[in-house]
Amino acid sequence: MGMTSQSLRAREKAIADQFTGGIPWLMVFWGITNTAIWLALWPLVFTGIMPLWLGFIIATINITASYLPSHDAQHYIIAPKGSKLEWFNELVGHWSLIPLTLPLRTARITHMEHHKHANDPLLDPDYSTHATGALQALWKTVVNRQPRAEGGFNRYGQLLQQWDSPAAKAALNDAIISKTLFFGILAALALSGYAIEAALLWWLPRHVALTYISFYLSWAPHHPAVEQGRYKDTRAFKSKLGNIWSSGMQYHIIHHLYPTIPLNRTPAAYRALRPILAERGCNLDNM
Amino acid sequence: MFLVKSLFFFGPFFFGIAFLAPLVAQVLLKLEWTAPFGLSPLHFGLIIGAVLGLVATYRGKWV
Repeated sequence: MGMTSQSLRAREKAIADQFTGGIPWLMVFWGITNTAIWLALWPLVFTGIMPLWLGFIIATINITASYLPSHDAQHYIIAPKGSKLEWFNELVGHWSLIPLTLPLRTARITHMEHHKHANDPLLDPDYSTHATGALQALWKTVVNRQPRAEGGFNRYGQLLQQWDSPAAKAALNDAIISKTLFFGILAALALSGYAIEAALLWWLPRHVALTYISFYLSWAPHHPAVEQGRYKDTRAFKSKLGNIWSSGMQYHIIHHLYPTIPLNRTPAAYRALRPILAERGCNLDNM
Repeated sequence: MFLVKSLFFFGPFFFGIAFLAPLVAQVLLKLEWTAPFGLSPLHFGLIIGAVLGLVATYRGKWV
């Protein structure tokens, strides 16, 4: 005889609570060192200590890995909002996103709306990554980055203008400043004789990173993105690259159910919660 | 906001002349290739960057 929905939810929450709390030091270390390494590439390459091809590979890994520590900060997982260490949470969040040139406040406000409205064609800021298959998803990441695309960061800009709240205005201002600074710095480097270095340490790695992030952190865990609701808008899936190389997204369903569980604890939380998720009818892809 | 939108509208053109042009010129120099029609690497880069940037501005997309 199955448990009632209410008792199932209580049991689910009791299990999830075991995986929350405390500072996720792995994410903190990751966020701080990742950006520090990326910044160090510039003098190392400019002075000839490191070859540019190696700098390109490391920069691509750095920028691809730059989003997730900030993602924990967006959810105040590193330190709760209003706590003494909130400044530390914000520091890690801002710092880790520097290579990606995505401001924390912009990422946070749009990401919270994504959580509220996942898979809603009109209200989910990330709905533009929706695609019928992997190849189309990859192509859409390119389409969404075109100057007058309707999706991607342009959709963030349109929604921020529509929301018209003080927080949305601040996030929009941050995005404008960030985009202007990014292209201004690229141009300054190029006009100073460092165009190839700028292209291979920042511009091209960022495009590779945005492709990966859009594919693995947005499209894959929500595919086919046709259902909405707590137990239907996200799935567990078996990644061909494995869990680490897909940035832990195999267990993204846990994040949507309990957003304050740190990324590195979602696999264990998934294993503990799996029987309940199966009973809920979640899409677990035989994981 | 109008000013920002206008500047971003012409963003691809600015990107073409301020980033792509020097990038093309520096790649030519790095590979020790000669620009066609007796052009200097920077002039060649400016033509490529400006044309690509203008087309992207007009179409609203690079590809």
